Amino acid sequence: MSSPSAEQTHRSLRSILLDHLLSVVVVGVALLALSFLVRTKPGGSPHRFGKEIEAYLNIDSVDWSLPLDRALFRDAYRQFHGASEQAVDSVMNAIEDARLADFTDPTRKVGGGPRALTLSAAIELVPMYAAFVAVFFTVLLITYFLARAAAVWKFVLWKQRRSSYLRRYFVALEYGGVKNAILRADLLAKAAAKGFASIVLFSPAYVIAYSLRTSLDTENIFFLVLLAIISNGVLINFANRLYTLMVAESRKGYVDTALVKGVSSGFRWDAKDGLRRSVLLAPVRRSAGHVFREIYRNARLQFIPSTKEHITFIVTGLVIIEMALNIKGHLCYALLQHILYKEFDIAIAIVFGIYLVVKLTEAGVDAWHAIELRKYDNDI
Amino acid sequence: MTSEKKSRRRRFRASGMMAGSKDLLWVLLWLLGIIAMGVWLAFFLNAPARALVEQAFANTLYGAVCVVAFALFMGWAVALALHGLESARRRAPYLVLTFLLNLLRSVPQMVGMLIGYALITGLIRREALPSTASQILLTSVITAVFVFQEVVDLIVERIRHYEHLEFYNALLVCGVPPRVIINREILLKNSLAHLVQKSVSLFGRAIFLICSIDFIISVGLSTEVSLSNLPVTLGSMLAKLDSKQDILVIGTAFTDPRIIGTLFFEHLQGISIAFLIVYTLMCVYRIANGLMERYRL
Repeated sequence: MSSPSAEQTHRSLRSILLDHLLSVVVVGVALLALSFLVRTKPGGSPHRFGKEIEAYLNIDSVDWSLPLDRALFRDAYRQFHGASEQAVDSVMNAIEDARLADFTDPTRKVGGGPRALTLSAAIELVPMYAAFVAVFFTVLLITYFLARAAAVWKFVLWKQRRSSYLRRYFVALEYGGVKNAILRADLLAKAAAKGFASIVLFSPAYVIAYSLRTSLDTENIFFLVLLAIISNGVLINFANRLYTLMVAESRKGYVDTALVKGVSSGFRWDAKDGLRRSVLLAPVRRSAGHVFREIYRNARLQFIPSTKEHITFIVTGLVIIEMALNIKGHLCYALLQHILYKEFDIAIAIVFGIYLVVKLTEAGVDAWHAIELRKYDNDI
Repeated sequence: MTSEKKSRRRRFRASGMMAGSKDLLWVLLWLLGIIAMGVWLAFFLNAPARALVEQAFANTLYGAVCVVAFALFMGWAVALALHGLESARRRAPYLVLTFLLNLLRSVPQMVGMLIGYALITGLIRREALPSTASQILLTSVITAVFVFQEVVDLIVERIRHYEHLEFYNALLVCGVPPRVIINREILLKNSLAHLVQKSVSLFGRAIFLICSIDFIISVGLSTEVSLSNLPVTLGSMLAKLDSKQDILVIGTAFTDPRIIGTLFFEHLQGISIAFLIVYTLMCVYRIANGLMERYRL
């Protein structure tokens, strides 16, 4: 028989999972209603604009995509008709509407593609959806392990009271003069490398991707995964959350009690009472008998629920990458195309699919948290 | 004590102070970086392009500040509503509100913002949003809807923390109304550092989201027509053809290092916009972290 607290955990997990299920149902019903409202009508009539607008669009000497030509037309129209600014704006908007309608005319869509959400359209989405889910879970797993290693590394350095490379360089310069400045130039190189890594980690994905587009194939799936991990600040935010929790845990009273009891507490790498470097890969298994083990385990327990925030952030990152890079054959590129060609019912189906992935992962995280919590139950 | 020793000690004290308040150091570094870039652009970038970059930067900052303001307002209001419902033991409305918050939390911000931008585009085309300021305000409201839950979590957590202490009951016994205890004593007097830190981190998040959505809308939806006349931001500026070409040159510089020098003179528009986005994001993150360290949040 389980203890009341275990029963409570079990019940709360069930209610949390029900909550997720209810969310899916509510969002599903809302999106279904919306998709009926905006359902694409097969073979919809082409747009027709006034003769005046069509005449303007047919002027050979005006390239409407050029801002200069548009500005010249504005001035010419204002002077010729003696029109007010508002009237000119109105004509310009009508011209833009006509061009947009022409541009988003389904007959111009490259490769045809489905117009409404039919069974064949849904089947066409399946491989794209599967690829999106595979990329998402790969990114999530790799990011989790990398962030964990980065957080542990940063925490150990913090415990070692290491100051920054630049500060150490200036101290060396202060006491050793020019000779030391030359001898410790490695610190400057390390600071520069760290600065460069920071720039990459904080860069939005599209900045990195466009920077590398001329020298690398940026449209393959490996680059997509790599970009989703290292860009948009995903890794650094993920790692920093765990690091902050570990720092907060290390300041709690039980850590002092453990130290008084004689538990290992050194934080020098590979020292007698220190930590092995392999702790970066397996923080719990490789830190037996060390106070770090308890700090990490307690921090991880609080870290697990916050993983949910990172799930939506990773999805946001993937959406940005696929949309910004216009990678054909990917789910978010298809989403963008369907929005552009006003095939809103298919776009809504894709949005619901993405929401489903997020909810499923969140339910998984909640289940994991509940299992971890049970380990702390005294079930004797 | 010799003057050399004195100056050494002064320098060490200064560096120690900076280490203790990294947030201020990074605010200073951010401002210096922006000023230095402004001076560089004044010398080497043509006036119309420079005016566009300045306008884009100003619009982005204005949008991000509005997002923070709206998120704080919404977060504060919803957190107080949640607390009020919980205290009054009105379980059904409390559960509904919590459910809606969780539902919103699970919507990837970019997807939600895309839907919101579709709405804004429609309003702009109907000329319902005539001024740039009103367009930025509405886009900020939409962005805030997808980030304000962080403020709700923070405020609810702070109220719960103080409710478990003697402090809350002591003030109640002294006759201070719960509304005043929460708003003035807990949030304004004892959680200001937390709120400032959260605002800074939301500011960074807002800049990232605004730039990303504008980039996607500008580059992804269409390259031939302008789908809407949204205010120019760093994201939409970066999506322009000439800016993208400037960024593409960075990749070419890896294989042909001879053109590295031209990056800072001939490709300034794209490079400076990319720099403004990345440098601002990095500095804002460091400022938020510095605040966290300084106040042990």
